[in-house]
Amino acid sequence: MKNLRFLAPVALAATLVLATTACGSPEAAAPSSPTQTFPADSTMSKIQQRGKIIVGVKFDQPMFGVKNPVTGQMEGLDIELAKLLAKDLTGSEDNIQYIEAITANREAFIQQNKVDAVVASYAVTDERKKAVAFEGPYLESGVSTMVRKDDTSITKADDLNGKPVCTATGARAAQLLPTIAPKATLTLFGTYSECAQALKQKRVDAVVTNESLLFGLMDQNKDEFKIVGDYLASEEYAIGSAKDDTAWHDYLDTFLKKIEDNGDWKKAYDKTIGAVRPGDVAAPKITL
Amino acid sequence: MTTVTLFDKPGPRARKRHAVMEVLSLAVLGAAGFGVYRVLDSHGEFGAAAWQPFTQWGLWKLLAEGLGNNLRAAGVGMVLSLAFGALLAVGLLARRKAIRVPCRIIADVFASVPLLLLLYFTSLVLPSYGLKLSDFWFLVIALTLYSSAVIGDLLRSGILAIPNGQTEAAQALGFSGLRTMQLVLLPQALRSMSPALISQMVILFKGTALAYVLGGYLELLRSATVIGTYYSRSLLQAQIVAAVVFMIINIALGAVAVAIERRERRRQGTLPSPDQVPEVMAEVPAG
Amino acid sequence: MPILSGYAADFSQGVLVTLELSVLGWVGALLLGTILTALRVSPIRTLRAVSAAYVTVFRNIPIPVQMILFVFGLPVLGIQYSLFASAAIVLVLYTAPFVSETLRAGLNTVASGELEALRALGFAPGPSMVHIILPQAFGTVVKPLGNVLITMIKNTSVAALVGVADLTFTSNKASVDQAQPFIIFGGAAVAYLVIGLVVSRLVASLDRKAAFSR
Repeated sequence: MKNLRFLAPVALAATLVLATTACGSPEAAAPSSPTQTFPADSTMSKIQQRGKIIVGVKFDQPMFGVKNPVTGQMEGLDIELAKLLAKDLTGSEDNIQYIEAITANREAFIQQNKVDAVVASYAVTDERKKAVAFEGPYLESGVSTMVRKDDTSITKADDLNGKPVCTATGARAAQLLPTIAPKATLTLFGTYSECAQALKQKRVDAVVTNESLLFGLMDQNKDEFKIVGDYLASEEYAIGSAKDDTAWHDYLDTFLKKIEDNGDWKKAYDKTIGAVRPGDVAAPKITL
Repeated sequence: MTTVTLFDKPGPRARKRHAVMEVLSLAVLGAAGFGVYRVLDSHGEFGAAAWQPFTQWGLWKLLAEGLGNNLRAAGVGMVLSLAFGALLAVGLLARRKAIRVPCRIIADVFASVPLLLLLYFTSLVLPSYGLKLSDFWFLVIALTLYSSAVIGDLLRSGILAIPNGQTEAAQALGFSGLRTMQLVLLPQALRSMSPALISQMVILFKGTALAYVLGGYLELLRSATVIGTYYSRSLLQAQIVAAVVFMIINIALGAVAVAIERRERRRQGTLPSPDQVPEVMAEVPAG
Repeated sequence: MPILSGYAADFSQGVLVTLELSVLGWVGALLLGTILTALRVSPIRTLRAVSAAYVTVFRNIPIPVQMILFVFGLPVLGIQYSLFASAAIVLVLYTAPFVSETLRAGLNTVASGELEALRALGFAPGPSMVHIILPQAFGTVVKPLGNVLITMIKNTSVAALVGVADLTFTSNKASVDQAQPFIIFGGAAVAYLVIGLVVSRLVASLDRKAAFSR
């Protein structure tokens, strides 16, 4: 290692150059004009000082958080909420750094303070409540049934009996179905895009899984599918944050209440999930 | 690759008959081609709508990223399986039964189990033992398990084909058994087996497409599927582009294998007469 | 092992599907492979080109790609079969080039003197092909063809990619559902091993017979 020591100044210089260019990039240049003030050591004021909020989102969940692989744009309800959050704290919705959160690493990201908050179609469970704090819920959802738009033979779970039904290997739906519709024949693929293909091609008559995933499939296959019947099992999505940071938790809850009251939530919803989910949906009550 | 047609120069009558058949089969081929074209065209597969997404730079970047992941996994898998394969070859040639028999079992088991089963195995079993690896490593480990077994056996037979006198000479020079293996036998086996090793590389590269089942691993076939989910009009096009890219790379690798084999035979003064078929590809059916 | 009791039925069903795919795939691949070889050595240039093109294309596109393309791509054109049938067809399409290349290598081993002798005896090309050349060619290629078969049996697992419940698919599903992956995958590995051993034994005895008749 000794003979590498001369590299230290070089590395330092490189870091400086990188840091200055990073500061000069348009992403961080958006003006930070906080509209509210918070106690000096709170997470809120830390974010204001930093000038941007770090949010864990999904990169691969259409309608919630998805990075369009072709254009590189971030889209979805979670993204819209994160933007509103950034605007509320820093004055501009552009002051966000997105970090990809996958299902398995969301708790770890929060616990290690890698992110200020997780907005990643994060379903509230008792198990997760032990590890992180939840704010919301901001959306109610569940395991649902999707059929072809012109198919009227399936309107409730019972109708799935005797029909070929698709879901992914290991999905909760694969375990639910045998109890709910024991005579349905299961076709299992690795991912849901194959299920959507199979539904389109009439290899199967229904796709059963989390509604959030079905929304994505409906968005990608415009006017081909519809969601029918009640939830086979329900769940709620909420923002996740550090467990012991009560001030931050209270702020996030207040923020959610505010956007639900002033219509911003509705706008974000209509722009994303509202486009594929039938009916008029009211914002859920903030209970967490 | 020239082909023997088995029968010698046709006479005038046969030539005429062949000419007629040539024309007939050309006509049938043309009709078939036109039929395929009509089917594709009637579904608008040549239309601007289907190909328009391909004018975006991001789409090609996505495909390139996928291909990069295939190549990376195959490359790392190949390096690892050469290393483990060499170890296995030494074990397979060990004089002690306690080493040889377990190595034989390992080689036989992993060579006769489908790669996909190994991939499911690594991606399900390793995490349940606390090994939190990325999909890339699940794929590479599966490839290595399978390919080490095959390469181990290849190198073993490569070493066995080296005349015994060389080992004796090395030992007379005072080389230990391991040094002999390392400096004399393995390099020669690697060299003489290089065409087969490249065929194995083709198999590995083809195998990387199986990572499609992992869903979250962006390899070329998955890239094509992702494009299909965003531009459902272009699914078939994206898949065909992916297939063609796979094909071109494999053809290139195959050509390298044949060229190396030619060179190898020339070096050993056993260049086949041009009408003899290079047997590398025929001997090792790709998986 | 009470957890696994429910799996036994799935497992044997999976083995059965794998065997069915193997048999269908092999019969088809032998047929198509023989046709390809016949085209490849025919005096008609177009037919030779067709055969060569087919072999190049279908051998070099990985079988997972062909499987996905066939099952999820072609229905766009209205070409759609059941998942099982699709898997069997793709298996045939992919394996036939390897069969053909192996047969062609075998044909090349038939001594050219023999061909001259046949001609001198007045055999027409067609009958001499069917009665004399091909049987000999098959004889010399029993072993390499056996290797192609064994590889193909492993390739039947790719059917799992499109949801066909073969041995690989059922093992994966059971492991996901029941969290006993070591036993389940171990069982599947043993099953593949046994199938492979039985086939290579059969091939070896067939090869001995062929060698005897040579």
